[in-house]
Amino acid sequence: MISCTQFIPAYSEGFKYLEKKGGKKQVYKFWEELSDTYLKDSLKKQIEEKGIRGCFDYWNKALNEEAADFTMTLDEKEGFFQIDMHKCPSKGMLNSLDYMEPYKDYCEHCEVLYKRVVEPLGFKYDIDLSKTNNAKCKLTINKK
Amino acid sequence: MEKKVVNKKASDNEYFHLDFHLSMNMLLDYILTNYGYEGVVEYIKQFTKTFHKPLIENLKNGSLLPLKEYIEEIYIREKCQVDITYNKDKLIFFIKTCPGITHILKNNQQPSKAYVETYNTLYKTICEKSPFSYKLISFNKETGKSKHQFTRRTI
Repeated sequence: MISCTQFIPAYSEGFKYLEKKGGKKQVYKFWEELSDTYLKDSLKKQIEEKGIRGCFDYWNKALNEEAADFTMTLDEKEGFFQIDMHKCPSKGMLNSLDYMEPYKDYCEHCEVLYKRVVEPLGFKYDIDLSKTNNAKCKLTINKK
Repeated sequence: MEKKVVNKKASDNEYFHLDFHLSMNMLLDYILTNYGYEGVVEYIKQFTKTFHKPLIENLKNGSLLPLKEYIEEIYIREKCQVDITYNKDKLIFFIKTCPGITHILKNNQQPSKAYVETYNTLYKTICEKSPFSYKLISFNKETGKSKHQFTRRTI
């Protein structure tokens, strides 16, 4: 078994494997398929049912289970949701494993997976990945 | 209409996101669909050689203790019982259910047809350059109930 606590390095190696076999387009194809299947009954369903509050409920569960270090803001009136990730547990773990090299574009999966779900539901999705070397990022979702 | 701000530190929570088992299963199925069963084996070998490098190096020293400690640790973290019998030449571990398969089924999904390789290929690869060999004694694809054996190779 690959434990759920070992998933992040397994995921990173999976991206490397797919890129080696089929180039970056194969990695994107996987992310798109994962978004369409994995997030269908979770994030997508929650936004459809609760609007922008669904984002808060989805990430509140996921980020607590992942023991992330973050500030999360929801303003339902303004249609605004933000995650200010002070230390991403996934990228933090990959950075700490000094004997293995993370997939070079590891953090891009967050952009592909979530944008694909959120934007067709009437929201604008932005993610600042400029500080991912320090396991930091900022995700913002606004009602269009 | 609500306004909420939540601040969390990593130390506020335990790192335990069971849904990663679902994503892992989807990755295995994706590789299976696109690159076949041998693709899954190839991927798990790559992952194991990379991620388990410290354990692989430790096993070369000829003691099964690092493997015993590793197995105990992952099942404690998964909150799953594991029975281990161990001496200097042999280690057998038995699990009544696989926590990964249990979570996949609980979420109305089916474990990948190649799921068994997360045991078989993974442990064979860990042992590859060690004085030990691995044998999958039994594996129930529906529950993950399984028995695993590591023995010192005879010269």
